[in-house]
Amino acid sequence: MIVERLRWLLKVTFKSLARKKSRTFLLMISLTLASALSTVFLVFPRGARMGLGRELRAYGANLIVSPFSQEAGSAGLSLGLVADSGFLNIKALKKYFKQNPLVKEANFQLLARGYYQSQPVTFLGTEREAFQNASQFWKIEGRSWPEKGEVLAGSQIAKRFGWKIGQQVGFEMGKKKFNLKIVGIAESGSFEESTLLLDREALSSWLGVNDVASQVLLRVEPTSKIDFFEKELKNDFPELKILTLQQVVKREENIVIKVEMLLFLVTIFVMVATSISVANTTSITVVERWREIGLLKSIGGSNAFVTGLFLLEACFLAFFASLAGFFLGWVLTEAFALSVFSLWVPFDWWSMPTSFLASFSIVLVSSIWPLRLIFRVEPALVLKGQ
Amino acid sequence: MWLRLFLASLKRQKLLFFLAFLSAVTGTAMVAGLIGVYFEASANVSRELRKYGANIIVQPASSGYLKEEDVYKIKTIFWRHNIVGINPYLYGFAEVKPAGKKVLVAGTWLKKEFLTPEGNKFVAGLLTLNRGARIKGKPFEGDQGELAVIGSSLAFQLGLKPGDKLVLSSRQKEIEVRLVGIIEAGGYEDEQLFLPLKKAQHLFGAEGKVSNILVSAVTVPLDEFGRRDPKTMTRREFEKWYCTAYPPAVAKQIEEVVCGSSARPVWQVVETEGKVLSKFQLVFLTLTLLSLLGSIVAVASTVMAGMMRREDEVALLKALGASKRWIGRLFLSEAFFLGLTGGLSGYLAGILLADSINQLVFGTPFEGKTSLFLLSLVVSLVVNFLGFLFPLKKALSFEPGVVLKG
Repeated sequence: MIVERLRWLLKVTFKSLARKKSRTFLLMISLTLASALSTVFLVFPRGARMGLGRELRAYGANLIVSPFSQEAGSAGLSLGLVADSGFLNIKALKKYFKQNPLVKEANFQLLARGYYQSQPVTFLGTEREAFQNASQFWKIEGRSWPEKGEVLAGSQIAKRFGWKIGQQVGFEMGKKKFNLKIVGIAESGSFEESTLLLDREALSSWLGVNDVASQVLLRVEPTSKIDFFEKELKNDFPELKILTLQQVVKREENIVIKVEMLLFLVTIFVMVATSISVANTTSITVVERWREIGLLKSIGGSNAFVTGLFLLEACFLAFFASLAGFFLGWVLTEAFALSVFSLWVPFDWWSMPTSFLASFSIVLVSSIWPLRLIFRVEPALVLKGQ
Repeated sequence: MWLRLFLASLKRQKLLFFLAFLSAVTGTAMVAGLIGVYFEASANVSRELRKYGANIIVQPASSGYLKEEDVYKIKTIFWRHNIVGINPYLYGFAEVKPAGKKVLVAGTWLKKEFLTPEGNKFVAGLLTLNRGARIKGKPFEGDQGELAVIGSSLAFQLGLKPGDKLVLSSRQKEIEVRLVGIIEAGGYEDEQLFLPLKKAQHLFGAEGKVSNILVSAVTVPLDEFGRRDPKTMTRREFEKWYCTAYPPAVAKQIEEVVCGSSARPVWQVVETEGKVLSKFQLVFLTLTLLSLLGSIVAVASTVMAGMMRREDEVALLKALGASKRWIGRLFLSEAFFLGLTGGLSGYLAGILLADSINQLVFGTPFEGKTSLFLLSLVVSLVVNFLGFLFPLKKALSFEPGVVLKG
């Protein structure tokens, strides 16, 4: 009996949908787009968060590890070397950082004092890969990495001594004298401009030291775990001085929070607006079917029965529209994420049903709400044409 | 006749009109609100990024010092309103007694209020340049007084606390100061001792001088044109470059007012912020355009659904002798009415929403733009017209006899 009734209900529903093809098509388009919009707004913020996080990485180091104080400056902005440095053991630290997944980048730097025509100059020895990461936004004239016997001069020091690219310059370091060719001039807007940049190993050999650094600039992510990392590092290497560049950390955290909040509010706003629009369209289709409702009621259909019939129709439409909208939304999200951030929003099994259910609920609830209009239909009046 | 029919139609189909109106309001509000937020979001995000540290550094062009009096001139450049933080420093070493240790002393402003030439109040100093810095105790205000603030790390090393009296001795002079606070800035500041600028100048015998100036300026992301060397530009190109808030253009203007200076963007900060801002703009623009498309479809489908129901009405009017043109005018005037009222209400709702979002996220009110008002009206009118047009065209093509027969 129940199966028979259900079969009859389904038959009526399909017939009703098939009879008014243009109406069904319009509703499907409207619901599918609403669902696609919901999916984009639910999934895309995750991609935006990932993309912005990756862009923010370009701020560079958020932690400096050194033996003791050696630079003057403001927050992350170093203003120069003010004391002779001690050394860090690179091998031990490299091994430690390699094992720690929170460390994303480590730039080991060696600082040394030398002389040019009896004037003190600072040499900054660094590693090629780390230097290329750190200097991606600098303005470099000439070559961007010095080979053996070459050096990159900071713009300030080059200006001070009137050095030009291609010039051979004689330096002294302790009792050693050597000539270096200036192959590039770098402007960073920070203390590197007042230094001579070269390969760390070359500088180590002049100093007669091996596998040591004056400081290491670390990029630790996520920034929320930076305090935990600092504590852990202090515990394992109590002789080190660790400086968290709060300015960099806070700047990143602040912007991520603001953008997330903005996207969240906009998502809520768009969801509400979408629900109202879907409810409006569905209401009009209910009003359009006034006569059909009146007829059903007049031949004995109760409010509950007619509502059930319409509900089944709404569920049917909402399900297929949400399914189509969900896939359309997902494709749009991936296309946006790829074009804006050049990344894919990773597919995960948890977010897929969540996004689908959210968009299905929005479409379904907005479609059900107008069904209360059915209760207002007076069959006699409607059939009389009033 | 036409007006009577129009009013009668409005009266008879209250529910349909109300739903179509609600749809127009929602759609327009969504578009106006999102575009409104988009208009101001990039400026707001840019200001947020500028709350934590400098993006332009001003140093002497050759060795020596800069003049303190020139610091104030930074608020007179073309892009003065974009300058949100200024902080001068005078650095030197001094021995702290009784601890007997040589420390790096920075003469600076923690919080210094001054009037710009236009008569506006501007608060400069470390605490406005780096909003993340916290002081335990009291900061000194202005640039005078016998007070000092010590970096948290240095205070720990020397065992000093607020209230302690210190004697600072440089090669030039010896002065006595009282510690009033401990600064925690999470940077190099934590290892420095801060004095009011004038006091430090006195200590180092460098009256009226500063070592460098840090500036925070709200700038626009660098594009190909912004990166060009101004020396290679034509006069017109240079004017355009100079009047755009590119970081190098703002730095150049600062260099022009600070005598003997070299002002340079902090490239890593400037480029990262530029990239973040560009991406953010792109994200928001994409979402706004998508919402615009969504609202167009939503409004048009509501109107279309409403129009489909009125095929009988069109057929009856035709049967009574009304021309297609006349019927078209009647229905399109309904579309105009809906578009106008929906657009106006939607605009008002949209700016309310944009204002709430701005207040909640950035703590600033929404300023609004005339273009947004016009855009809202145009969107609402066009969408309503489109929504009416297609079903109307279809209804007009039917034979009245066939439709009226059912």
